[in-house]
Amino acid sequence: MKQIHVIVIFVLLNALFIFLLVHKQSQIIQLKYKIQKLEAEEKELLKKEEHLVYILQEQQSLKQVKNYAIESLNMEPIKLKDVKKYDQI
Amino acid sequence: MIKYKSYIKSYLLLLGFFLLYFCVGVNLYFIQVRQQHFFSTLGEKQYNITVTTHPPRAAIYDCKNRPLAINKKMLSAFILPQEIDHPKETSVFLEKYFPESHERLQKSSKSKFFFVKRNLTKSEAELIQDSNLPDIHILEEPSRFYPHPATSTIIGLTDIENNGTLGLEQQYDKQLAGIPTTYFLKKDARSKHFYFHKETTQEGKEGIPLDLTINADIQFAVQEILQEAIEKYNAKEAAAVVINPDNGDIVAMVSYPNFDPNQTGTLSIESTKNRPITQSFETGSVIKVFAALAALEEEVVELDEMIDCESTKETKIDGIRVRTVIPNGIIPFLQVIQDSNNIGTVKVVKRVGETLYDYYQEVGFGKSTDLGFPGEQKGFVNHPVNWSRYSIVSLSFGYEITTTLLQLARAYSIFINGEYYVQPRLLKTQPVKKEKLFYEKETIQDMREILQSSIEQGTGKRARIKNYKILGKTGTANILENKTYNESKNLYTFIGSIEKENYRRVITAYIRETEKKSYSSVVAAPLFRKIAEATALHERAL
Repeated sequence: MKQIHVIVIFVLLNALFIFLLVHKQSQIIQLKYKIQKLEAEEKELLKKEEHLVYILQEQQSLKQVKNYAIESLNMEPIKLKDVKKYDQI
Repeated sequence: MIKYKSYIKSYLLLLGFFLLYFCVGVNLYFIQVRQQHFFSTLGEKQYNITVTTHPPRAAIYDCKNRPLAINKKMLSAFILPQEIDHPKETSVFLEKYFPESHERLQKSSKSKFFFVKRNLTKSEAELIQDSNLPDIHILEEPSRFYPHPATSTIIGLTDIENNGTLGLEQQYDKQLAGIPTTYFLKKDARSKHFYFHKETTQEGKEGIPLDLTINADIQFAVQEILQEAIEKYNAKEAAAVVINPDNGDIVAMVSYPNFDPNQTGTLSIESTKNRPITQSFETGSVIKVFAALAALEEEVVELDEMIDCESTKETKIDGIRVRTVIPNGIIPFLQVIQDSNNIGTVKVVKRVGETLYDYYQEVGFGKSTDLGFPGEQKGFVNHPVNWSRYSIVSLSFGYEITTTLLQLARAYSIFINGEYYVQPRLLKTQPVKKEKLFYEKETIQDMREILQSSIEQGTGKRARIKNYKILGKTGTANILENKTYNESKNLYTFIGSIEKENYRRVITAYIRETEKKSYSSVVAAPLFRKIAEATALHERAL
């Protein structure tokens, strides 16, 4: 084989390796970017969940529920003497 | 000649390029060698940053896993004083809507960061957003929401920085807050968010939630009952404790007046007290129960022994004046306690002598409950070394001894579980601690008989509940003011229990300084009954 062919093959192989290395790095960076994006999304969703739990709990205040039951639904608080237990035969 | 001229031109061109490259080389030398430290530091600052993230504050739950303290976002407005683009419009806006912060800003104009207001209301946030002023920014900060304000004196509060300042929020602040995580990031200098290398320099930890033994429904119900009682009798304050005598679980611990932890604009220190733990007081006649325990265990008296109560409201025993509300003649010892006769009690307890102090200590008076709750009071029992000749008289019916409601509940539990001194607990993760006491079975049986007769025939009649076994004792004590007892100001206490089949609970409650002078049998006994009914309804029936 002529010397020039060896040199050309050598240069081409090196170029290929460099290309593969750069490609690998860019893939890694892409994946890292995806991970960070998902982490940010997860953080946002957790914040939303926290907010929804807060809104739910705010609406379930015992005092509000009791007042609504008595004033709007005309219900009365149950008394212990009204509760009767029946044993199953 | 022409050859010579072209030679000179080439030489000059070469010299020019040489000089150019020489200048570049010198510049590179200055940048890369002489100023290497400066530029490498600048580069590191642009590329390397350290970020600390705090985990969300852990929640607090009741015994049925319902949240008692959760996180919510809080909006705050801030300005960067060194970067204000529209100073006039911003100043006018602040002066009109946030005058106090406008004044502060005049003094802080050189600072880099300035809070206009933290914890904005909905209307304030909307006002700032609608103003479209680019210099005022909105920031989200963590804060707390408390879905069950009836638990406020137990749970406590966090401050504006979300650090615990009262109650369990304070006691378990580190556990709830967790440990922050610190990252070392290498970022692209132009990018705000993207990093290409992340290293954890300090591993953080999530906050650990608290699981309480408290039942939020019963807590709410008891608060309503206390509020109703205070309004009915125009009283100063009231408190109650409900515990499980078998394992020490505190089912409810209510203090009234209390506060709304979600509205802390006007907060008084008085309203933040968790009175069942942090307030000790002279209890009056409820102590007779434990004095009777001492007398029976020491075998200085039998239940049916006849005691001469002298058929009078006032007498002198060893030269010391002793008064009682209802005069009795010669009656059995059981009836002495049932009718809460001070004369008969003093005569019997004198036989116990200084050993009385040991019995009071043994049932936990003057000792911490080891809950570790901020501000817990141990109470006080006068040591025999400090006794005067009045002491045995005072100690027999509840003076020269101060206790908290929780200590009373702990002590009373002995009569219900029969053999254990049980440690109260507020957290499910705390171990159940019981200490066996070696009272005679007959003594415990006799005590239960006394407590039952107190309800069925004595001063506790108004505490009766149909189909349930109720045991208990009333107590009325004058309040000490300026070193003297004020006979028109009283503390009305009831200690008792409700039992049916396998279900049993101990309840202690007091109401203080009613508008008109009254008795515990009229004020505290019905209060106990309502609390007992609510507790049984929620735990047993529903």
